[in-house]
Amino acid sequence: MVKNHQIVSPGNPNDNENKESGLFSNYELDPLFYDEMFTPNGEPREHYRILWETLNSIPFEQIVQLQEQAERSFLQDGITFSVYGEEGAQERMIPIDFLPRLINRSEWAYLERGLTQRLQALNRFLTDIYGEARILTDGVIPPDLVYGCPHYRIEMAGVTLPHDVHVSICGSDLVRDNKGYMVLEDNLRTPSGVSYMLANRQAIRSSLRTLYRSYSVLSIGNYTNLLYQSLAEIAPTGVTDPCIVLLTPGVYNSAYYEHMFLAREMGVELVQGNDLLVHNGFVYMRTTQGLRRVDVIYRRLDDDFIDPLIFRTDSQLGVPGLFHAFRLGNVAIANAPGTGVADDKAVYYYVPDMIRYYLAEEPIIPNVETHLCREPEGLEYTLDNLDKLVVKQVGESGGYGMLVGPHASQAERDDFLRQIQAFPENYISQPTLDISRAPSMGENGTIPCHVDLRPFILQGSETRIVPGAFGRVALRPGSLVVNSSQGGGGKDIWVLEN
Amino acid sequence: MLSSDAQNIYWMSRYLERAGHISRLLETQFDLIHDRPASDVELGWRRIYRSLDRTPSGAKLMPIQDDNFVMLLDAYTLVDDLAFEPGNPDAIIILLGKARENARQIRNILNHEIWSTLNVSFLDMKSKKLKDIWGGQPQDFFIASSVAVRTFCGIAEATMYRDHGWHFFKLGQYVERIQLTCALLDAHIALFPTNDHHWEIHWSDLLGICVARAAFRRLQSVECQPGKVLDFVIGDSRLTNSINYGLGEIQKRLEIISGSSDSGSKNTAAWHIGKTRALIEFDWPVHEKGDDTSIQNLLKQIRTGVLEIDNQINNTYFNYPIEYKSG
Repeated sequence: MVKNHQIVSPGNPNDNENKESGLFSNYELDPLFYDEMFTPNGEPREHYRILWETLNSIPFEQIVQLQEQAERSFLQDGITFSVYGEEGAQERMIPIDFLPRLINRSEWAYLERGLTQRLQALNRFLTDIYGEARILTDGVIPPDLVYGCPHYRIEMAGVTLPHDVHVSICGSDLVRDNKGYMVLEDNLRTPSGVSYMLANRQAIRSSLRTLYRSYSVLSIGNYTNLLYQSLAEIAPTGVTDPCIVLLTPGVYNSAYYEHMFLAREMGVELVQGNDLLVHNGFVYMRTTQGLRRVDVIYRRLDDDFIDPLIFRTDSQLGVPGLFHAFRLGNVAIANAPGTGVADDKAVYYYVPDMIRYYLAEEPIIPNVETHLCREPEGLEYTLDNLDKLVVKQVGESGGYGMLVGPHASQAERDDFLRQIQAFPENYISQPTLDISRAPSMGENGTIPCHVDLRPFILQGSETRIVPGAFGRVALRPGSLVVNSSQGGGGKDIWVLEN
Repeated sequence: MLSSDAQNIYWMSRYLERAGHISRLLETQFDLIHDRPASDVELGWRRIYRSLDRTPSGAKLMPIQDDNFVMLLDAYTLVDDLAFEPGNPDAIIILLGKARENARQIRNILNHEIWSTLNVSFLDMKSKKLKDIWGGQPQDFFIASSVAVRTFCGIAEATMYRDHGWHFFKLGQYVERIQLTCALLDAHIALFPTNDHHWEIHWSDLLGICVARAAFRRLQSVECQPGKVLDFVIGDSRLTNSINYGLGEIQKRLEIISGSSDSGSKNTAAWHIGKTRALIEFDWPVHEKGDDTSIQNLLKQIRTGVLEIDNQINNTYFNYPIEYKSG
């Protein structure tokens, strides 16, 4: 059903006579979507007012130059990502949207509480399912959902970890509609994007110096310090000055820039599998002065590839014997193997139940309404409403393996219908969300684009969150897909002190 | 320092040195094209291709022997081969790309100034095609690439932290420089025998390629006598592009690196550098004036010695065998 809505266009504060000449003069509001910058009647929200007035006072040509300056700084710094399967596109620049998204302090405090609560429950869940599995025996979550999940690692059963931390780095995707924030998904394996959060901030702060100074924006500059601290806290027992390394699959990985960036900022070695070896249950790296023991590995490759003796035998990226050293407690791996079971799209459905079960609290930030096709009623609802729903494959991520019902052709829907009927346990469905929009730079002014944000939550002996996030924006008009591999761009998030 | 990081720095430095050297060869060759008779231009091409031990891909199909392809191929083809040809692993743009790839792998230990200088230079060079620059001032491209390498090295000199990474950078630079200089001198002597004084201008060109002309004129003579030129480029201890200076630098860097190394094989590299330096100390200059064969033999021995040093660096610091002990 198409909803009727009225289009409202905000004006230019400096040009009351001619409302068509401002940066936002062609910006269209749609009451269906929460607008991050404007109220439904076209007034800038209070915390956006300075930004609105400042940008309206700058000639459009100058704004275009500032946008280009920000993009150029990305190119010169080699801030790129790779898209798998694209020939000739080994390195692509992630598009940057010049207009920041602002979040006020109280709103951020709410998100911080909700995200902390969520990660604590998820870590408790992982400790539990690889230990006593009480949540399964108590019937809160169906055991077959966990044990049948491809990301469940039986090898982790009985492994105890310092502070019970399985997930040291979590990136949760948040969206907002007219009712408020929701968690779209949790990324608990090797979440990426934090370097773009920091790079976006640097680029936008340089381009919008005066505006940045006008706001009291909370700093995100200590993220890598907090990351280092969190990693050091999960070092093997008795290690006081741990040797931390970042394990990357190499330069051809889509997030290589980020791996390099984080290693540099933390002052740790960036290693590949062939830099490491295991001897007598300890991990060493090959240096010009001989072998040096490694205590903590921040790995940025999937479980499947970390140890060819345990997981994929054809992996050239991992370290033979690494898992053995890990089980012995001689090396910490962040995130621990087997965390993917907790960010499975079907397990996601049960995260609010986990919060209630482990913490005896109500979830602060709700999930998106989700239907499990493995359940008869969920399957029936999904098949009956395929044209209105977003259907996701439980094992996929990055926007792949998805059907966006309202935008799909009948043939695509029929194809998905057959797949769902054949393997219902592989699918979940969610309503098409009215994800909030924020102004982004278009060719002739600002245009409303759908946005989300991915804050990063760190867990060591305590939970730490920097006041910021990797903001993503669907730059293709009308698109809801914000993934950088599919036309999305980055957007700086300013969390305001006042 | 991580062995793979040291290896990347070493090879980044080698590729850049090679790119700079080939740029200077082409810069000089354009001077010949503009100012000299066709016979000199032809000899210039022969010097370049012999020193690089290369045959352009197009020439492989020709029914000709040795380096006579320079008679048949036009300058455009040869320049394209040396600067842009994707199939030539030593084409300037390919070398800059390889150096950048090495740098990309160690960006976490390079400072921003070093990385962005290389990245911006590469992106700028990569955007150019010979057909676009040929109609204007194509030599500007080679001047620019040569300047880019020098700028990079200058920034590295000014900003790199003096840890092992720096010494591996310098090792790569001098290992490559000596190899290239020996090859160039060998090719040059074969084309312009030292007892024939008709070729003085070409010996002057040689000094130009080795960035030694100004110093030579100031310290030696305005006349480029072959013996003096060779003595300067091989044996001078203060000319940064001389073989003697390069060997001294390699020895110094190896001493610093091995001073804190536990590796048992560290002395092997030191032994080879000592042996190679002795060739200049005791065998240079060759006693027979005009004995070009002996000079070429000496150059060959130096190249072999440096190649062995390169092997030892690899075996001692990059890919050393691991001794597993039980317990």
